[in-house]
Amino acid sequence: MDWWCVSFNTSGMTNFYLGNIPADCDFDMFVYKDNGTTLIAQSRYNYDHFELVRCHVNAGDIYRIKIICDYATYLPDQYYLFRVKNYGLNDPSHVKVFSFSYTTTNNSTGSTEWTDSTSTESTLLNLWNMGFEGQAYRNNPATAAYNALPNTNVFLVTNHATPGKMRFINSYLVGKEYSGMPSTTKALSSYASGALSRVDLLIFLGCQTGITNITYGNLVDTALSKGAYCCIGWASSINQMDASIWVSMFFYYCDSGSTVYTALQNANQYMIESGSCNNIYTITNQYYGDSPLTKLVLDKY
Amino acid sequence: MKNKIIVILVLLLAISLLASVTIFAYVDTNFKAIPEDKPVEASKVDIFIQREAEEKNKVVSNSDGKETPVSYDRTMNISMDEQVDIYVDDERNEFLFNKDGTIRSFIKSNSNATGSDKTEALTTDKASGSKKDIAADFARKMYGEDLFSKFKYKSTYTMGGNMPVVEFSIVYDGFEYITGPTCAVTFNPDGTVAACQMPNYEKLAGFDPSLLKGVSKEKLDEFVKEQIYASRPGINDYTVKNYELCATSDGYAIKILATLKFDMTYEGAETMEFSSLEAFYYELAK
Repeated sequence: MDWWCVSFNTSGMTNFYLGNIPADCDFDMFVYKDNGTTLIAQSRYNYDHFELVRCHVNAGDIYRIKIICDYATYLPDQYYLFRVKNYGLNDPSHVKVFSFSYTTTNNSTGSTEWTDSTSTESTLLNLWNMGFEGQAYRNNPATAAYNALPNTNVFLVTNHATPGKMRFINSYLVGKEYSGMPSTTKALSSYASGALSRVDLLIFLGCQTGITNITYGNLVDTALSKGAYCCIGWASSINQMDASIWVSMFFYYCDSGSTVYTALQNANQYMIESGSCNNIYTITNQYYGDSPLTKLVLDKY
Repeated sequence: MKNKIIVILVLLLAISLLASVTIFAYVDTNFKAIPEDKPVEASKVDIFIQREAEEKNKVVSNSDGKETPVSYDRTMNISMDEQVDIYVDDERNEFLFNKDGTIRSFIKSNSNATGSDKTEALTTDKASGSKKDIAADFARKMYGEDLFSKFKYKSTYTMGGNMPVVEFSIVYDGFEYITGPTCAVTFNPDGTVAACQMPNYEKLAGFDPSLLKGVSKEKLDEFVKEQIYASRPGINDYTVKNYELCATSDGYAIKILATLKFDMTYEGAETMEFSSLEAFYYELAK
C-alpha cells in the first residue's frame, strides 16, 4: 500500500491517474481528504487496467491518495505511473485537448437524434487513459465550437450534417461564408490563416461532412486550409449507432499507440468484423483531404 | 405469416462493445462548463479481453497454402453473446476464429503500413478487374473451395478513402437483391491484401432459403414504406439502400436500410434538409 499527499494552487477539476499497471496486477486508488479517512472518490477497475478519479479540488486543501495492489504480489522492481493534473474548467482555454458537441434536442420530425450515448463516455475514458483532459460538451451552439476549436488539439463533433454544413444547437457550422448567413451560423473560412494550427485532429462525424456543397463549401478542406493538421469527414450518410461504435473503436486504437491512419484502418476493419454495422460502405467511406494521417500519433500528455 | 418490425436500436450490442460510465453534466450555452462536484464512477467492458483459450496454439493454412503456427492473443467481444478468438503469427498478422473453431477472418498486421498521405479516391472501376480475381483466389485458399464456391461477386467499394474492398455474397435463387452471408477482401493502397473476412457466415450458415418463400421486393418495399411513414411522419423522402439477410435472437430477418430525408428548423437559423440512415427489419416466418 502506498500513500501520496498533494495540494493545489488553484481550485478546479483534477485528474488522479494511475497507469503502467504491472502485468496481472489489480491496483485500486482512493482519494481522501487531509484526515485520511474521509473518502472523496475511488477508482477500482479490474486487473491490468488503469485507475482514474476525476473530481473537484479546492486550492490549499491537502488530499491524500491511497494506492493498493488488490491482486497479485507487490513487485518492488516494477513501477506504476501516478499522475495528478489540476486544471480549471471554468476557463475554456484550459480545455487543452479534446472537446465535442452533442445535442439531445428533439426535432419536430421525430427523427432519431444524435443523443448522448455510451460512445461519449467510452471515448472520454480512452482519452483520459491517454492523459488527455477530454471533456464532453452538449447542447452548445456553433459559436461555442467555433471559439473553442483553435485552442483544442483533438476535436470531435458528432451531429446531423449535410455537405458543407454541420448542425449545432439552433445553429450551424459551415465550410465557407455565404450570402444571408445568419449570425448564429459560423464559417470555418472566417478563421485567420493558420488559426487552427494547434489542432492535431478534427473529426466531423456526421453524414456527408466530407462532401463539398457549392454554397457551404467543404468542412474538411477548409479546416485543413486554416492550419488543422488532420481532418476526417464522411462521404456518405452514416447511421448513429454505427458512428458511435466506430468512434469508440477508433479512439481505442489511438489509445493503443496507433497512428491515426492505422487506427482508422483498424476501426474500419473491426466494423466489418463486428457484423453490427448497418452499412459498411457508409461508415468506412471517409474523406480526409490532404491530411497526413500516417504521420500522426496522438501523443500522450 | 406474421411480420413485425424489430426495434432498430441494438443497444445491448453497443453496451457490450462500449464503455459505461457516469460522467459530469455540462450544460452552459456560454461554453463555460460547470462541473458537478462528483467523482466519476467508471466501469468498462472492453472491446478486447483475455480469456482462457481452449487452444493456446494452432496451425493455419495461409493464402499460399503453407501452414503457419499461430498463438492465442486476445478475444474480441462482438456482442453480448458472441466472442471471437484472435490468434497471431510471428508477424502479428491476426487470424480470427469462430466459437466452433472455424476460421473467420484474416487481418494483416498493419503496424508497418504506410498508406497514402493523399487521398486517392479509387473508383469502383479502378478497384475491380484484377483485384476481383486476386480477392477470389485469396478467399478460396483461405476458406476452401467447398465453402467459397457458394459465394458470388457482389461489389467493390473503397474504405477509408483509399482501400478497395471486394465483396462476395451468397445469393439465393430468385432473391438476387438480398445480400446473404458476406466475404470481404480488403486491399492496402499498395495493392497487397489487408484483410479477408467472413463475419456473418457462422450465424447464417443454417439459414433455410425456403424461409424466403412469399417474400418479394415489392412486399419488402411496401413494408418499409409503411414503417417509415408510421414512425417518421414528417419526412420529405426516402431511398432504400439495400436488403440484407440477418440473424435475430430467435430467427432471421431481412434488414432494409433506407436513407430518410427530413427538414430541421431552428430559431435564428434557416431550415435545412438532413438525411438519416435507418434500418427496418422484416421478420421471416419461422
